Amino acid sequence: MIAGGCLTLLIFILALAGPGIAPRDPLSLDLEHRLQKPDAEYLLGTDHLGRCVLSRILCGAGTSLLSAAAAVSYALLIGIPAGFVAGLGNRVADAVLTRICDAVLAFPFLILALALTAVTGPSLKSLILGVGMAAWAWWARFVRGMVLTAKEKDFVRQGFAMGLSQIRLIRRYILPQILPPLLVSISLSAGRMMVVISSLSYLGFGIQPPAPEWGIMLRESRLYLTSALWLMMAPGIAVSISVLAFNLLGEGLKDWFGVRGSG
Amino acid sequence: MKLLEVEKLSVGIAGKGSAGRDIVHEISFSLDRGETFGLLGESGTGKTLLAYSLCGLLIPPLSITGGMIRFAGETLYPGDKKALSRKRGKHIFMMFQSASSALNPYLTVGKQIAEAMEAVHGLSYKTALQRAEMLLERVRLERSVVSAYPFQLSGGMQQRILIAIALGLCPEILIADEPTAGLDVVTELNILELLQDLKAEGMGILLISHDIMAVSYLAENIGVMLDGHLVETGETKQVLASPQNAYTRRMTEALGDLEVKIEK
Amino acid sequence: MSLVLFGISVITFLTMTLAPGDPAEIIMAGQHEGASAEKIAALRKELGLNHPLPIRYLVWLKNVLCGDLGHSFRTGDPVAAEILVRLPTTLTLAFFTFLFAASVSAAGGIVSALFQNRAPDKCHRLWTVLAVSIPDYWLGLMLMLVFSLKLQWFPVAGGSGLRAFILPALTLGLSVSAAEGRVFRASIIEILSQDYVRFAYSKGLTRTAVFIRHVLKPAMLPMISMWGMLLGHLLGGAVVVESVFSLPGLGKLTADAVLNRDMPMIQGTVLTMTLMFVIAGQTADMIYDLLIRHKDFL
Ligand SMILES: Nc1ncnc2c1ncn2[C@@H]1O[C@H](COP(=O)(O)OP(=O)(O)OP(=O)(O)O)[C@@H](O)[C@H]1O
Ligand SMILES: [Mg+2]
Repeated sequence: MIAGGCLTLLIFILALAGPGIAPRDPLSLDLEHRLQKPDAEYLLGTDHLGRCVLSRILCGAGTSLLSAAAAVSYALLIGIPAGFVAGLGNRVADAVLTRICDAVLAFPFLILALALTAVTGPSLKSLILGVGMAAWAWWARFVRGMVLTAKEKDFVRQGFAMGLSQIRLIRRYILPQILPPLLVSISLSAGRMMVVISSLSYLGFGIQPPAPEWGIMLRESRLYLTSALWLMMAPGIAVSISVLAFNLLGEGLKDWFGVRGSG
Repeated sequence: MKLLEVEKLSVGIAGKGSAGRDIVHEISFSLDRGETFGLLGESGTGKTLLAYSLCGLLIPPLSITGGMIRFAGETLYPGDKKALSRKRGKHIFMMFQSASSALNPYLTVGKQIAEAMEAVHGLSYKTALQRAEMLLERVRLERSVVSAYPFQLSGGMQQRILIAIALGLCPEILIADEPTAGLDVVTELNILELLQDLKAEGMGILLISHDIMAVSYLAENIGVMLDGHLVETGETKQVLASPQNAYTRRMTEALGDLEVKIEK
Repeated sequence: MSLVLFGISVITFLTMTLAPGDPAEIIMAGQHEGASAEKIAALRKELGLNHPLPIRYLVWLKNVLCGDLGHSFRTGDPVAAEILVRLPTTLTLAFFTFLFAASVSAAGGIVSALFQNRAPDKCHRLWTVLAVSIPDYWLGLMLMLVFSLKLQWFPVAGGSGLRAFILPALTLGLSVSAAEGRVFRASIIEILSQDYVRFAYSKGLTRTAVFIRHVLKPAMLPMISMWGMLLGHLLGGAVVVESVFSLPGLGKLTADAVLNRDMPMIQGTVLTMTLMFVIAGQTADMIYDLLIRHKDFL
């Protein structure tokens, strides 16, 4: 928990400060210093166009984190209200929403995300949109389940019986119950989103070169697999550590709140 | 020398400093073949923990913290850690408090009776299964129950299954943890009669119950537990007729009052 | 069930049909001939693009049900035939991954549960968190670097025979086996705390007998539905892993189709994979029901 929290915080700080502390312009080419091994001047070496890998990693952090955050918030923005409507609304709304969720969840997640990305063509924006659109149904179902469980608790029923308004009930009684598991899932899902988005970027569906992004950097490095190992290690380790941070944070939150097996 | 001798047995929960404490304190009693010792006491005094400790079934952080357990002259505690568990099934068998959770919901009743005999008496599985059918008849259930799952049976029937297992294992000591809790009066009497049969076969029974009537039906000797202490022991008749301890007195008086009220 | 299938077909149809860009123009652009306005109009008519959406959906659905998934925008070949050619590769990959993931997760889960909160369990838990944090594609590259390029144990890319599947299956299976191992561990621990396990000990059964008969087999039940869900993950992961290892399977086909914006091909592969996923889920449910009803398998 502590480790995960600190690591997440550190990564956020690096992502924010990245462009500021980067030693060089991540985009500036320097064809005389192509594929340089890491040394005192270029701490993480240079890539096939002579760009400083360290600077690209630092500047890419923001992109990776932001896009994961955007995809998660996007999914939450649709999923949570939908879950509440299904859980608290009338039967028709519940039935319709549940059917739609069933259909969306019948697709393998990555496949649906990919198909949705394809609709508008490869770009970071469509990738985020696609991933978000594929993920919302999971959240809707998750929130619906939790709301239904929360609603069954005796003191919530009591509240209903006392005639409290819906908004008040949600805020005072239901939200506190579903918040802990929700936070855990958000943290774990942020890690997963980072994997998904960087995977799809690696395949060339996301942000387009020359912008610095970890998935793209790995995509460009694969041609130099044997000759320039550092090109592949740096972004790979960066992604893994960031995902690890979110996962540790999620696990820690889970232990802390005492949430049992979710997600 | 009696078959089972328990001296000053304590059960505690492990923990650092003040977190560790004893729950059951210095219980002493003994039990011979064909005898029944009734253990009375209210909920949460540690009757079940005492029973688990006699079978070596305590799960950490709970453990025996002191005292002695002797079986047929052999000291089971203190000493070899495995000694208690080696006696399980063949010599000492415990019927759990709640029959419905003691039976595995994924296995047929027949298998659960048979596997015990298979493991303990080395019967082949087929013979064991045939014997299981006979045992079911002895506890007055249909033979067809062998292929039923526990959840298809009523609470009384499940309790009979445990008794059938006890019959199959034929241990020297049987610990029956509240075998009649939650049953109607007629079923309760049936179960007690079955236990009486087991006693007649020569099993020593440790009968745990809150129910004075049940205990006085079977037990020659009783003990009364309060807050983990054995506050009173003696012959059943004597204890019930002239209870020494305040708690026992209140218990018997309450019973007397109830009878008077019913007669009115 | 039928509602779900209907939903799938509508979603697939709509996403692909509403994609910006006129299919007729895209096809014409691919053919490098002078794309005159008349030719495009003629093609639009031929493709039935002038009809209202519901009609187009019904026509499309009829074709799909007859096994006609249309023709690739790029090559003009029938989509269904291409998918059939690629299918065995992906199924083999899924099979190997499944074998790997199931055995590793079973071993991990059992050891972890038996040594709950002790060193082996802590190692296993740390390993599972690490394993789900490493992205597939990077792991694939690393494995390729070490085992194919440095040690030369396996073909670098493509390659033939079952050896070509080992590294991809490892790559795809690592995170899955970790996730499954955790579920298995939780499931075993839950059952270990049940009264009936303690009662089985009380009957005089040995540790091994209790563990195998009373713990392990019931603990497998939740894994069965998990395995059904697994295929969805595998198919998604196949897109990445097949691309990394240049395995000519459905995943690679999908990835290429998305890069080329070859809509009929995307539609076809998405539909195929989703159907496979749905069937896997249904099969898992059926097996689960069967086992629950005839528990005697234990
Ligand atoms: N694992 C445990 N950790 C801590 N305390 C425990 C544990 N198990 C039991 N106890 C405590 O030990 C006490 C005795 O429990 P036990 O189950 O033996 O009571 P009992 O006399 O059998 O009650 P009942 O008549 O309701 O069955 C209880 O107060 C309980 O809170
Ligand atoms: Mg008890």
